[in-house]
Amino acid sequence: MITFSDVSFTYTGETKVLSELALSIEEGQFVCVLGANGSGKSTFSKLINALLVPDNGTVTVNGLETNNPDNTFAIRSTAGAVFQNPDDQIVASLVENDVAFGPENLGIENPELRQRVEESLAKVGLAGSGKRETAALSGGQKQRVAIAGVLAMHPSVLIFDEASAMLDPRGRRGLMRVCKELHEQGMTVIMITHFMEEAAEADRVIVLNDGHCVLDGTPDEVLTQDHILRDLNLDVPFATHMSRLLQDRGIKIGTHIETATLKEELCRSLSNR
Amino acid sequence: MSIAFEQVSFSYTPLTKRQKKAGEVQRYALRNVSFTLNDGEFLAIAGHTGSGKSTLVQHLNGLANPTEGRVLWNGKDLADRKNATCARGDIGVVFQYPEHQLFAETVYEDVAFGPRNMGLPENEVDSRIREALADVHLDFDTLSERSPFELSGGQQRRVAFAGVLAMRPTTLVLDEPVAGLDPASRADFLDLIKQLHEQRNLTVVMVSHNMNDIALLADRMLVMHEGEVAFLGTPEKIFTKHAVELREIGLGIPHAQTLANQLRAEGMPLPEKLYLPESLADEIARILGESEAAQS
Repeated sequence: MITFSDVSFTYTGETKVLSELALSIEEGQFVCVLGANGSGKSTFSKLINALLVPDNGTVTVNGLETNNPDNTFAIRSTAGAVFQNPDDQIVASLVENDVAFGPENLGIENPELRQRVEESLAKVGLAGSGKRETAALSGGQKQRVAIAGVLAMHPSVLIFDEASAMLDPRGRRGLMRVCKELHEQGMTVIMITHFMEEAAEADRVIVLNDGHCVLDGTPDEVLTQDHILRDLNLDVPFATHMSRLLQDRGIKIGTHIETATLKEELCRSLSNR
Repeated sequence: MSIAFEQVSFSYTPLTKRQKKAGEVQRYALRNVSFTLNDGEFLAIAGHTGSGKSTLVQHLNGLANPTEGRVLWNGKDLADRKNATCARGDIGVVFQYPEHQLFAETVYEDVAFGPRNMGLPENEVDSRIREALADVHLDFDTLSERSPFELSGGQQRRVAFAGVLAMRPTTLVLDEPVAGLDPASRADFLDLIKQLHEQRNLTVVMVSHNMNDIALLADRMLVMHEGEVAFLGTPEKIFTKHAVELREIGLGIPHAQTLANQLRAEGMPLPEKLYLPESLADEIARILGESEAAQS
């Protein structure tokens, strides 16, 4: 679906942000990308939908190279992105106009346009909200309108670039629920985040540092590497931290990434005594 | 120094007499809020978006005035503009994403803005800038003449913070002070707040979504819900007694507390108290360790 072949990228006059990054993302995967500020993770996301093109190497999306300007349009309608600040992404004063903006630019006309808007709003849990004013929505609702706007373009990849960073816990949970539902319906999801609870729910976790991929595997493989994560200035999931604290105190217990499984093992230890 | 809220209600759109007569219903952002901020305490304010937290913060130094009730600062009503002006030097407010409010060409000039507005002589302004930058762990010699906009996000926030500290407030009000920072800057910043509270004896009011941070730092917490005070008490009391209600109003409880409550429900004899990860690990190790010892 998406392939990075030895991709390097440098902003003008700066040191390399990505160096010879090579990885590919399969269709239908739910991938979380972690990395501290300056690790290259936002650059990574912008390279996918041709907002940036590599200095060296190639990025292909559905077989289309991002270097070729003729592909840009097709790539952007395949891979849609939602960014951090909800207020930066709303372009219209009515929800339905905002959602229609993308597909309209693709040349979609009524009645299909209207149908796409309604379908997309339903997918993000905002069915019937088309006539609401965007200015009166909460941050979490605005982010869902932004997602609906991308969905209305019928993409096959969704990129969330720290899309939950400015939301409160409830907004974040709502966004995560929408992501998971879309993924279950077959969407390829790439989520760039600082939140370990989100990473724990992905199929695959990629950790970037200094423009290199330093860890790549299942959440269980990656998130239990607490020493590496700390060295990279990243959070460690609560369950992993807690497992280590218990192990340090001589309790024989596995290293968990989710509180539910940690709790189950502790209950088993308790009943086996 | 104390701030007392006496049955404070606030409406962004107060009704006119005619509207009231017509029977329209007044909408409130704050309803009947009463509490006293004690000298030297660390009070956390929690609540989800729209609960009235930010409106409450604006009442702490007279930026907003109650529609009903009053806010007293050392016994003086903050609705009086003169009192509010005096209070602003004493109560420093650091708003959300304060780095968005940086404006001057150099770090020095930006931090100087507050103390100069207070009419202090230039030599006093200079010494306060040095002190404030040292307080937020920024090096005066290398940074004071730089543009704040060239600095990293975490450093920019420290500059904004220094601008408030340079007015030498006795009370610091922080609205989501670590939102949007990466984990290391977040930990540094919370540490800094803790130091100022403990070493300078500053009274701190911190608005936060993060229950783990609140459990770690606060002496008391006030939970807002739909404009009203839902709970006011120690984190220990609120997290142990009101876990279910907190979840219902869309807030969580700290991770360690969640795990402790679940384990207790499954029959592990954990005492009801406030847990941080370390203290919970100690307690679990004691319980499971005792049983291992009993077996052998």
